[in-house]
Amino acid sequence: MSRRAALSNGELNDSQFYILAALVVPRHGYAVMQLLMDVPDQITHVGPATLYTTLHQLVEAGLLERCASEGVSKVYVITQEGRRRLVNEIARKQAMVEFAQRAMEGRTHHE
Amino acid sequence: MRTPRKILPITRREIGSGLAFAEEHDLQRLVRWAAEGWRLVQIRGLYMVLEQAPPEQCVFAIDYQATPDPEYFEVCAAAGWTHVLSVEQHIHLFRAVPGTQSIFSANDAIVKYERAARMFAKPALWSSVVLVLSICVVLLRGQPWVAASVDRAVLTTIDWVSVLLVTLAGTLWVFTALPWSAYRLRASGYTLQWSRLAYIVVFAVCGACIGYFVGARVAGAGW
Repeated sequence: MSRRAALSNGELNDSQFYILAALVVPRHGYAVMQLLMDVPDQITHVGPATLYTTLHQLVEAGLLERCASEGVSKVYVITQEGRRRLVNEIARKQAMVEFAQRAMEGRTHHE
Repeated sequence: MRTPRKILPITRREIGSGLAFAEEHDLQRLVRWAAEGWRLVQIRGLYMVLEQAPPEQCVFAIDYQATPDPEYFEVCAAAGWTHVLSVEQHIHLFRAVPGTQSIFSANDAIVKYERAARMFAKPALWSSVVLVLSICVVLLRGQPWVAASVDRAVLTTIDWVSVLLVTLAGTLWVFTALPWSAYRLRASGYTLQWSRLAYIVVFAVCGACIGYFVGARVAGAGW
């Protein structure tokens, strides 16, 4: 499966979701890593090797772009397309959570 | 004034088990050696070179990335994974204190085997093609009509070349196509259990096949 194909089904996997959200403001790769390590109660762990591959994958898919960098460290930031996909994904996840919460409270859509 | 004698570090060599087949086994050995005061400093072909160092408790991880940029090592360092060494800029070994979170995200650990298999795909293909072609040459050479219709000097040349090709391609095949298949299996979710016996059997069978073809040619040529 090519990198592009991995992203073409519209859904973002957990690592991609966290990384896109972390890059709403421009950051270095290692700053993204530090930020993700500081997330309290983080259910999904994003490993550094996965972070590195995912950054490249998201740049290739046009969801991230590299901006002016200092020395060897690259700075990444979300693109318009990346932002659109992130917003869609947030909405999808919210809908999932709301559905599950309603179900847990014993309510459904039709009531 | 006498210059102080340079004290060379005490080193020892250990044969590797082949990362494609026995990654977990070799990483466990590294953990044990580190605790015993032996630090890995180099991987030279099949050998691992260890140097005496203060004993330390640590864990190791292997990743496959084709010529990554410095950012890769920076990001790993930020997560507590120190780069130990790289083999030909493709295979990277990292060390961390026990308890450090994995170098991979959840469910992502096997994706590295897809990258590893991709690295071995071309060499595996080429060595297989050359091996099959050279075996075909050997089989053709064995046909009576070939021996009858081709000049003796040409036949001798063919014998030499085919022996050389089978040996070379066979050896390359063992070190490219076998790791490629192991990485493909791992990428499909199989866990390969380290078994010295299976390892010896596979290599003995491959060695015997190559030996048979080479031996048959040498014997056939009357050397």
